[in-house]
Amino acid sequence: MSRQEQLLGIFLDSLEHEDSEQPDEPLVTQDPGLFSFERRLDLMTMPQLTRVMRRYAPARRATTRAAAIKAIKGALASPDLLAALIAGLSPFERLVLEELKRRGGKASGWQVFMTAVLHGAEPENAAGDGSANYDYQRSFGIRSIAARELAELYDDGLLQTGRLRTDWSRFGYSTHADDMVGAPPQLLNRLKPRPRPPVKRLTLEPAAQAVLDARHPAAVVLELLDVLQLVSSEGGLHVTRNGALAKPFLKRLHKERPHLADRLAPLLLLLSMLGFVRKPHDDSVPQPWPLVPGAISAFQRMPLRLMYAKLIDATASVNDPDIALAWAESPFGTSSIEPFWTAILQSLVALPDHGVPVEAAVNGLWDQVLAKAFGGRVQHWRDNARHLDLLERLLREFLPSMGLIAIGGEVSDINELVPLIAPAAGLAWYAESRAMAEGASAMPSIALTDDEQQLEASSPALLIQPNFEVLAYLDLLTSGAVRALSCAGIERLDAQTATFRIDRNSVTHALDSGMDAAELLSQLERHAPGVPENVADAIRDWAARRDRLKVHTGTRLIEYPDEAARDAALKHVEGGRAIAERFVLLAGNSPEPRVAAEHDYRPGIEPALKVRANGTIRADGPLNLPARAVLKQLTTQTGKHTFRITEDAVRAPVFRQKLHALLQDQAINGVPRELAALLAAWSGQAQKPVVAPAVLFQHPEAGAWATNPKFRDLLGTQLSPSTYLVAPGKEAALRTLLDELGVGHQSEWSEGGPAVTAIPGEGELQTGLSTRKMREALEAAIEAGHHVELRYAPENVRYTHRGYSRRSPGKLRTELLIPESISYEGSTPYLDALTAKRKSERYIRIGYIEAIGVRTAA
Amino acid sequence: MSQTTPSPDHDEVHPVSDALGMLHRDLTVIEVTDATDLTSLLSDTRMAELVLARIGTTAAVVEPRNVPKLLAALQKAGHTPTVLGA
Repeated sequence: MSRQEQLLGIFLDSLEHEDSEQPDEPLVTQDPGLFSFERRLDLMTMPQLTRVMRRYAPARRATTRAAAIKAIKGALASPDLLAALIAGLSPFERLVLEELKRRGGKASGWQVFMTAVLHGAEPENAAGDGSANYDYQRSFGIRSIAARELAELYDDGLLQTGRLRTDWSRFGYSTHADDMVGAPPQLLNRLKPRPRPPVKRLTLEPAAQAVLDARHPAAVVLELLDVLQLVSSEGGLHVTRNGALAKPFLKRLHKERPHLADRLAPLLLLLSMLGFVRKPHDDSVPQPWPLVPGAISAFQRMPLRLMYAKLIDATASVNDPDIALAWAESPFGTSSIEPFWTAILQSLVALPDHGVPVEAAVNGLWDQVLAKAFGGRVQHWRDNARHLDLLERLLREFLPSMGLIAIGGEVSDINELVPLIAPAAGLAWYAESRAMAEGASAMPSIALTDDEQQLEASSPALLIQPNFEVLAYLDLLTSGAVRALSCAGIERLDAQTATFRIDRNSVTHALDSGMDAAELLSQLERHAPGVPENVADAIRDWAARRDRLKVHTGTRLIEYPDEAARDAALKHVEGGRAIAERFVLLAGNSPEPRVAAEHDYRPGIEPALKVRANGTIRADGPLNLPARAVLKQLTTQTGKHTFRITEDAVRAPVFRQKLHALLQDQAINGVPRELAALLAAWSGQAQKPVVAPAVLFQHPEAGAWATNPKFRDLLGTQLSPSTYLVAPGKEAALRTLLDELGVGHQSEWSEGGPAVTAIPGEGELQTGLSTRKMREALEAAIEAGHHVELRYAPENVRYTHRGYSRRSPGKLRTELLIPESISYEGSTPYLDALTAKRKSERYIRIGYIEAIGVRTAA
Repeated sequence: MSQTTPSPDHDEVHPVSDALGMLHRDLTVIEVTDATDLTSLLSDTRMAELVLARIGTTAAVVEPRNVPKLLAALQKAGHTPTVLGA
């Protein structure tokens, strides 16, 4: 029996049973996600109840709320009253309720409304000019027609919403969760379902000479799975902390698949929307989003057509910023782009089968379908056509790339190329699968599986060649063949065929999804006339190599003193297996046995070692593995709990960056600085210290000498205000110069060694200077152009009620200052200075300066 | 400071003495079927830097923070391990 005959038979059966009771039909029950009708009745005012009564019990009169509620609840329990209500429904209302019933009693309001419109329902208030959409009583702006129309049904007690009042029903904008609607279950259960009326197609003139190209829908699925394989080989989806795709990752993938171009990013986002990758549980460590094998294998087990439909549905959630912006800027963009995108996908079935100009299709789809849900025009936005631009862009670019629309062109009378579109094979796949999911198809989804089995029996879809190339015939592909192709990567996609190549990475990807080599080969053999022996051997070899190395992530390990103790304990550890000589690896959810101690490595490892400056380490308690690694590789044991870092161990190549970092991590108070410097020197991680003779030039006015050009060339780095290094090799020249100038000099340090802090305040802060000495030091610093570091108390001035001032030192502070001048108030000296950093003015009483340090100006 | 060689086996340092055992939670384990495979793997300094400790002839452990780097390094070195979640 052909598909058409099957459909026709079921259709006739349904007509025959139109008026009979259908006991097998599943009953609709109250969805917990919806606000129940009975609960809502209790919250209604009398006018609201009166309106609902007009529907449910028109013959009854009630003067109190209690009586009205009783009458409505009575009607819900009365088959006759419900039958009368149903008989009085308008065609639009009936279609909406039937649609809800098909979908199990709960569905997106947008989608239910769109379905009703597509199947010929005319919303009662959809016509007219746009001003009708401006609902002053209920909203602040434009409310979509869909929201307004469904709100009428809500007020009549025919619909329920998720909450008492939702943004969607009030304003027509919403997220997906908010636009869910249902109906009282008693009403839906009484409603006898009828087949959906046929879709009302657009009447558009066919293009004269339309040559249109379309992508095969199977190719779209293959492309997505190929991108999935690429992501798998990258260890997951690389996403930045802001949630955007990482640019280096995108660049690498573009290099691998240049033909994907702009399609790559949406395909990667689709992987996330389809649940194939998920955000890591622990995002404290930057890591790619891992693949979700369960979701991937569930997807791959679906019939190919359902895979395709699921993929297309997910595109509505890929929030393309350009498209979302165009929608938001349109007069109707009060809802998010997602319902509009879904509505466009839904509305494509209204396109005629033949090729039509894009412009005509855009206008037809908007005026005759989408505008009936998303609203008419408002006067002052009449010229805004962003929604039409957006629709055209989708019809010309995105939807053809997904295989839903065929695209081409014809040359017009005035010799211009007119772009044309027509429904493609993908649209038929999508519409069929969607009808099944919505409960509107006469054919159960299992029929798709039967179809695939027949197709597989008719002819093999794959041809595997000894050069590891696989040719796939797109028309013959089934979900089984697609699964078999998971061990190969796409090389080329043509209109009717796809060329794949089997290599080690692609086989690894297939094995990662849970298959073993035998399963993989059996799948290939099932869908191809045969697998060349060399290809089969290579697959077995790659799988065997992969099995030799296993990485168990996030495990629980139990460590025992020795192998015998481990083997003895293993008998009592549920879900554990021996690993290495002394360890037991616990399986995923197995219970943990009683243990003597435990260490958790996830939050960061607890430091366990007390490291002292002299290189000794004290370690108490049961140590974690990194602490033991440090002790093992760096120390020798000197007591029960004490160890000593050995020079040889640090000098050995084993003292790598890693071990150094482990020592830092494990040291309870960090590694003392002096020890860290010593370890760095031993290990060669730091430069060797330099010990070399140097000649100094020292004088209290060293800076002044250095301004002399003859001296400037002979002096090197300034070490302090009074001291310079003499440039290497210039010692004799400097002495000669001093001699020529008749300046006596000495070559020996006076008793007590080199006096680098030869002038007051140089070096450490100098305290205990008298006010006079302090002033002289400051005057010397001003003269030499040096900075000074002062610890001083600002002078606080307070005036008494008699007008006298009282001066006192404030809180001590230390600042680096540029001294400018000394001034006097009476006989009291003050320093005028600027702060070195911000150049703020300071006026400091010299008697309040506690300490001074002269510093070289930067 | 004395100059002696480091202890040859970390088991000598505070070995687990209690027969009840010590639980190590949230570690990643590299397991091989042949000990020489692990020796050869750890002879690659890039890999050795990421491994916390070799816990036996056929197994080594890695800290959670180093797992993404380890998987990338394995792949770069041409290994295609079976990665198993907890």
